[in-house]
Amino acid sequence: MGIVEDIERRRQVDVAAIERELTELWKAAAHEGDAGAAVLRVCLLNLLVFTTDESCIGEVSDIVAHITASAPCRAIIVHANPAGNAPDAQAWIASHCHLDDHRRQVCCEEIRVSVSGAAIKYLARTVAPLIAPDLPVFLWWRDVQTLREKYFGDFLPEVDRVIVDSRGLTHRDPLASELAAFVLETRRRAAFSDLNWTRLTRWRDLIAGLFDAPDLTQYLSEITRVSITYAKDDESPGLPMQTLLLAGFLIAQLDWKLKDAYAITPHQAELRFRAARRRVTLTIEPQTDSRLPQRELTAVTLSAERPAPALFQVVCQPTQGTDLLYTTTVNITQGARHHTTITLPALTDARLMTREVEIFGRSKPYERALRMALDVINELKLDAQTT
Amino acid sequence: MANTWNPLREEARVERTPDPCTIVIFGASGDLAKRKLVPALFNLARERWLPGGFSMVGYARSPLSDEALRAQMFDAVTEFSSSGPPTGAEWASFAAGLFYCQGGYDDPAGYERLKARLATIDAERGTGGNRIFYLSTPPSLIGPIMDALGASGLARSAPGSWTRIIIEKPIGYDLQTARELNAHVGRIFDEDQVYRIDHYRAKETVQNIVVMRFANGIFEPVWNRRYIDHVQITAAEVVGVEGRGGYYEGSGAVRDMLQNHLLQLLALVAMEPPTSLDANAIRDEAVKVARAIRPIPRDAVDAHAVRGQYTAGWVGGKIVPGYREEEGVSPTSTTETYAAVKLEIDNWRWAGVPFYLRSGKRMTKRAAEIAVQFRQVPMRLFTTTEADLQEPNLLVMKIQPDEGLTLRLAAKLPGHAIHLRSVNMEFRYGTSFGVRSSEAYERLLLDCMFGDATLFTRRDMVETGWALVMPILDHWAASGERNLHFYEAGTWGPEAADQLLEEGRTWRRL
Ligand SMILES: NC(=O)c1ccc[n+]([C@@H]2O[C@H](COP(=O)([O-])OP(=O)(O)OC[C@H]3O[C@@H](n4cnc5c(N)ncnc54)[C@H](OP(=O)(O)O)[C@@H]3O)[C@@H](O)[C@H]2O)c1
Repeated sequence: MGIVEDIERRRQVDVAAIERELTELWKAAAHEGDAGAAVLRVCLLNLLVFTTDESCIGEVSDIVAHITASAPCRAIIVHANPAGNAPDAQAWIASHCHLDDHRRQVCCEEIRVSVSGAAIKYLARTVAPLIAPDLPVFLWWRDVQTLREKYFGDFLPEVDRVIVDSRGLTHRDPLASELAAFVLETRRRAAFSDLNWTRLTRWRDLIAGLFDAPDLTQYLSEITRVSITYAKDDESPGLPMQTLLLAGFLIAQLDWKLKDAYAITPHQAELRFRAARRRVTLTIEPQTDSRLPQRELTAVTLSAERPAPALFQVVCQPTQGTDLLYTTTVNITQGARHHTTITLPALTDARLMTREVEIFGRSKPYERALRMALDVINELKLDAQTT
Repeated sequence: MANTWNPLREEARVERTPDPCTIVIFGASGDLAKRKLVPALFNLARERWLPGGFSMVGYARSPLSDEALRAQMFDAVTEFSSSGPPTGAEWASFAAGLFYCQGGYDDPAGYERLKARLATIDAERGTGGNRIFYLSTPPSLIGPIMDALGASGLARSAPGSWTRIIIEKPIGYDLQTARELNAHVGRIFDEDQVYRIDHYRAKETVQNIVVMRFANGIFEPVWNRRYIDHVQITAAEVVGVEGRGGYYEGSGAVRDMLQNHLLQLLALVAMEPPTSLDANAIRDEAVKVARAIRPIPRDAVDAHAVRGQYTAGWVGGKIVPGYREEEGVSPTSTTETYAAVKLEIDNWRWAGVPFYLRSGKRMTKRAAEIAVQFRQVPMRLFTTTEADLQEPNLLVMKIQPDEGLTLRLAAKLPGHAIHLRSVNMEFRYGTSFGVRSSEAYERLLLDCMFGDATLFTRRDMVETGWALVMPILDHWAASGERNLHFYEAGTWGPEAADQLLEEGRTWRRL
C-alpha cells in the first residue's frame, strides 16, 4: 500500500464536540469517495503522543501517517505548554488517507489537542473521552524529563503501553538513571518500552543468530571477552545509553555477575564480571573513524577460548544510500567459518514506532537489561567518586 | 536435532532459526528453481531466518561451474525476489553458499560427487550433515532420483543430523500412480522425512482459515448443518494455459486444482477442531473429514460433476483463442479447463449441507474464495416487497486477490417504512496489516528446515483426494465429448454447472 494521498482537512473544532466533528469528517470523505471507490475506515489501536515541543508536531504527524499505512489507528497528538498563562484547551481534527492496492481510500483520524497553563492538570481527563473504545492504547511520551509529573501519572490507568526514548542520554546524564529507576519502579502499572531498546532488536537478532547452531550454542557459556563499539560522540561525554542497554542484555541473559566497572576515558569503560568457571571482560569504546551517525553501534565482538578459540562478530557499516550493511562472522579455529551480509533500512522513528505498536505487554528482557544497565551506571558513578 | 536453547533469542524478532543445513535442488537449471526457490531462499536470508552457514547445491545435467550457477541465480533473484534486487554485498555473502554439482539423475558417479561436495560443505560451513533434497524436476525423474539417493546412502541421516525430501506437485496422475509413487518414496524414506508441496495451503489467508475458525468463539456454534445452508468454494483464473498446453493436456482442472487445492480448502473449512497445532493433529482432522465425503458413484457422476472447456472469447480487452487452438493442445482435446462438483459430507456436523467446488481457467475474474451461506431466518417477520432485498447471511473468506473476510447482514433502509437491504461488513488484510506477507515458497522452505510438516500434504490425504475424484475422471474419460460443455473465454463457465445447485441456490457472482 503506497501513501498516494494525504488529504488534509485539518480544522479547528470545539474540544467537547470532537466525536461529532469526526463523524462529519467521515461523511465528507465518503461523499468525496462516491465518485471513485469507497472510503474504508479501519482502526486497530489508539496512539497517544505527548510533547511539550510545538516545533516537532509536524514531524510527529508525518510519523503517524507512516504508522497508519500499516497499522490504521486513531492518533491523538497532545501538545502541552506549561508556560502558557491562561488555562486553555484547543483541538483540531484531520484525516490521513492512503490509497490501497485497489485504489480504495483507507482513512485514519488524527486529533490534535493543545493544552496550556493550569489546564495541563486535567490533561488525561481531556484526552480520555477521545480514546476509541475496546482498542489498545499506546502512549508515546516524548519528554522524558516530565515523567515524574502528576499529569503523566494520570494517564497510566488509560494506557496499555508507554513508549519513551533514551536516545541522546549517556551514563553521565542524571536523567539516564532517573529514567531507568522510574521505569523499573512503575513497570507494574504499565508496560514500558524504550525506542532505544527497539533499535537494538536487529542487533539482538544478529548476535543471537551467531549462536543458533547447536554446536555453537555452547560457546555462550565460554565467552570471556566482549567489545561493544559505537560511533564517537564529540558533544556529550559518557557512554551512550544504547550501549549500556546492550551490555545489560548480555549480562542478564548470560547470567554474569558484575564485579566492577570503571571509565578509562569519558567515552570508554571496562566492565568485569564473574561467570561460571571464568571471568568476563566487557569494553565499551568509541570508534573514531565510523561514518555512522554519532552514538550508533558499530560493532559487537564476542570471543571465547574454549572448546576452541572462537570469535563471533556483528559489524555495521553505512552504504551509499540510507541503508545499513550488517556483516556477521563466525570464526572457530579449526572449525566452521562463515560470514553473512545483509542490508537493512536505517531505523527512523517512523519505522521504530510502527514496530512498537505491534507489541503488547511488558518485556522481561528489556526490564532485566535496564536493571543491569542501571547497576553498571551506579558502579561507574561509584568508581568516579572514589578516583 | 532440536536446537539447544539460546538465551539471546528471548523475545527476538526471529524466535529461532533452523539448524544449519544444505538444500540440494535437483533440476536447479529449471524454471521453478529460478522463479521461486532461489528467490525465496534469498528473501529468507535477507529477513534473517536462515541459519549461519546455510548452503545450497544445485544439481542438474547441464554443465555449469559454481560461478556460472551463481551468475544465473543472481539474474533470477534480481528479477523475481519479492523484496527487491540484492545489493552487491548481500549477494556476495549469499552466493558464497551456492554450489553446483553436475550429474545425470540416475548416474551413480554424479551422486558420489554430490556426497563428497556435501561433506566438504559440512566441514567448511558447519552445516552438520543436515540436508533437504528438493526434487524440482519433471515428475518422471522422481523415481530415478529417489533410487539413486537410496543407493548412494544419501537418503539416510548421519547420527544427530536429519535428511528430508521435498516433492513437487503433481503427486501422480491418478490414484494408482499416486499410490505407486508414495510406495516408491516409502521404500526409501520414512513418511516423516517426506514433504509434499501444496503451495496453496501455505498462502497466508488459507492458514488464516484455521485461525478464523478456532480463535473466534462466535463462529464455531453456528458452524454446522443447523445454521449453514451450503458452502461454495471457487478458484477462478483469468489466464489460459499460458504456453504450458502440453503439461495441461495431461492434467485438467480436476487434477490440477480440485483434487488437491480445493479439497484442502474444503477440509480446513469442514474439519473438526484439532486437539493441538501439531502437524499431525491438524492433518489427522483434515483427512478425517475428507474421508467422510460421500463417494460419487460412477453412474451418478453427471448429477454431481460438470466439466467445461473454453472456446475463443474476449478477456482483458483482447480476443483470446479457444483451448483447442492453444499451442501444444490437441484440436480434439477433451481436457476440462473448468470443473464443478457437488460434494456431501456424511457426518453429524455436515449431513445434508452441500459443498460446491468449482475451478476454471479463462473465467471472468481472478478470484479464490470460500463462501459460507447461512440459512434463512426461520420466520419472515418483515413483509417484503419488490423493493426489498432480504438475503440470508453470508460469510466469505477471500483468498485472492483481496484477502479478507466479508459478512453480509440485513439492515433497514432509512425512512418511515421498513425496507430491508443487505450490507457487507468487510475486513481486509491489505488495509489492516500493511506488512509484506511472506511468499508461499518462503514459508514452505522454512517450515521444512524446521521439520514442521503442517502445511505439507500427507500421503493419506493425497490418496484420499485421488480416490474421491477417480469416478469422475474415469467417467469423463469414457464419455468422449458427450458431457464436455463449452464456454466462452471470459465468462463464468458453462451454464450446465447451474444444474448442480438445487433448491433455488445459485453460483455466486464474484
Ligand atoms: N514452474 C513452475 O512454476 C511450477 C509450479 C508448480 C509446480 N512445479 C513443479 O515443479 C517441478 C519443476 O518444475 P520446472 O518448471 O522447474 O521444470 P523444468 O524447468 O521443466 O525442469 C527442471 C530441470 O529438470 C531437467 N529436465 C527437464 N526435462 C528433463 C528430462 N526429460 N529428462 C531429464 N532431465 C530433465 C532440466 O535440467 P537439466 O537438463 O539441466 O538436467 C530442467 O532444467 C515439476 O515437477 C513441476 O510440475 C513447477
